[in-house]
Amino acid sequence: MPRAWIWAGLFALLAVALLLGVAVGAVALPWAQVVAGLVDPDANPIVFKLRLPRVLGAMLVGAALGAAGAAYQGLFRNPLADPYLMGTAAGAAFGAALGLDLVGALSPAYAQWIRAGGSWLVPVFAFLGAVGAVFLAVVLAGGVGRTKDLILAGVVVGSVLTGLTTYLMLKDADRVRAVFAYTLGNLAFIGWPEVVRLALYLLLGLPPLFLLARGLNALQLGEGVAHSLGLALGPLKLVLIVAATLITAGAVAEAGIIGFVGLVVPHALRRLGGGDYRFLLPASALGGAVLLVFADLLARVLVRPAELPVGVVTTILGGPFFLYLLWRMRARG
Amino acid sequence: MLEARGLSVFYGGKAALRDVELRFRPGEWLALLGPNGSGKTTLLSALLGLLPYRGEVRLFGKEIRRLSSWARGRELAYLPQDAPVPEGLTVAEVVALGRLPHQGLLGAERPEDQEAVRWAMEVTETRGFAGRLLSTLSGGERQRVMLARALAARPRFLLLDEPTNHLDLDHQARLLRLLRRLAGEGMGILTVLHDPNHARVADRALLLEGGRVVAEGAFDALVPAFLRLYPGVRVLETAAGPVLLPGVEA
Repeated sequence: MPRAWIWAGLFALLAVALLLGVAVGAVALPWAQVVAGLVDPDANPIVFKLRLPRVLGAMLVGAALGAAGAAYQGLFRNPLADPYLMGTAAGAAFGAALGLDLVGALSPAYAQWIRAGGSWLVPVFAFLGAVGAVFLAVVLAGGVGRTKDLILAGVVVGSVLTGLTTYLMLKDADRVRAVFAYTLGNLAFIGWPEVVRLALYLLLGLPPLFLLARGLNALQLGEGVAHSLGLALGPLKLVLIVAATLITAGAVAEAGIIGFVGLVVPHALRRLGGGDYRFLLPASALGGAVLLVFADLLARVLVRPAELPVGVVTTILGGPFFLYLLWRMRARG
Repeated sequence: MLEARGLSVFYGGKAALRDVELRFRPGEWLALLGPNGSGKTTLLSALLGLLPYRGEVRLFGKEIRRLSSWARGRELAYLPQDAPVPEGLTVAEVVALGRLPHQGLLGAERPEDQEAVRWAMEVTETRGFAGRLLSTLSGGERQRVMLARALAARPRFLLLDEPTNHLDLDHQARLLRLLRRLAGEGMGILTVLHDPNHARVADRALLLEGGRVVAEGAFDALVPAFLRLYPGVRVLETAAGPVLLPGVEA
């Protein structure tokens, strides 16, 4: 499919996602009010204070996961790689559990509590946990030289941290629910401060990824060839890992662990528009933004007036979609 | 001039290459021969700077580790034996990656880049499938595309690791003719060769054994050394010179 069409389609879908995301919810809003609320901050507080930050947050988190997934798939030359491969998710969950543990007693209404006083601790700990897990994996792998060792170290760090998280959760029954809610991913708590932080992570993390896209292309020919083409592999891989980890950790810290977006989006876009990372990285960011807004929309309406965690929706939708991709690959031989 | 002086490579304290001396110039074709595990690929990798080594590798007099990686990439191109097949990249996109050392990561495509890519696809006869995905080509076609990618840099030296592997006899002949032609046009060619008979078309061959160079010279002059290293081999004398064959009684 021509890439211009894909871009046009993604931007059109993003616009639709924005409008629907703001219009749909517990309170139905007429379109005139939706548009007025988007144009004038004071026109409609539901639009501007509640729904718009949530939709923008979904876009930013989706963009982070899509771009990081594409970067990891390129770096590890593996279409099954995802943003959490090097331990970010397990590290974030452990950080969140530790944060909740340090804060101490939890009310059953953990959600409101987390966003009330002292709430900053959990995202900060989750962020540090995610970054720390990747750092540990890189150290255990003996640097970024051997890509396979990086994957193995990421898996080891991830399972050890998951074990520790489980231990922390079991110490306190309330904590099971809180950490569990966190690991399922949730966009319900995203407000303007979270949107600003997410935008900052992306502003720092996305440009290096986009600038190194041609290096990722060269890596697809193998590390020997990439080296012979003049790339300094160590710095290249290190910058890719740092940038992808920064945006993943930011997304996980603000929204919890949302699965399948970073796996499925780059995969689908590679099939549609090819594997040139100068296309695939920005397109995956855009595609991730679109997908997560729609997934969050479903999370909000499927069990109305209650809500599902968006991570549940992406996992339920993403699993079959992924099987479909595998099935089509096999059908084509 | 590409040269190695006292070149040694160690894997965990064990020498895979020991005190190798090697010199060749643009326009010359040098073949590396030797039994499995004799250090041919290790030598190629060390010349490319892919491995840590002791001793010196000099490109036109400059130690290769002191060159910028882009400068090295413009002069030395590499065709590995088995490269992974990239997903979702077309033949034209792969060949264009050969211009990376001239463009850098952010450089735009200039007319000379397009000209080099066009020339590389012309000589490797790969223009016909420029728009196809590399993953849809046969092994032999892929090999030619990878060669086009290496040539697109217009390097002074081209280092190839067993380039005739996986090719049928006709394509082996075409590839060897192309390498001969490139050497004639002034490119230095270094090939690791699995079949020693192919070294006949090279200018010179180095015979390695256990990480050391044990013989050096034109193919015909190396035949006695071959027979010593490969006891199972028979020599067939032909009008075109000696041919080495696996000695099996029918």
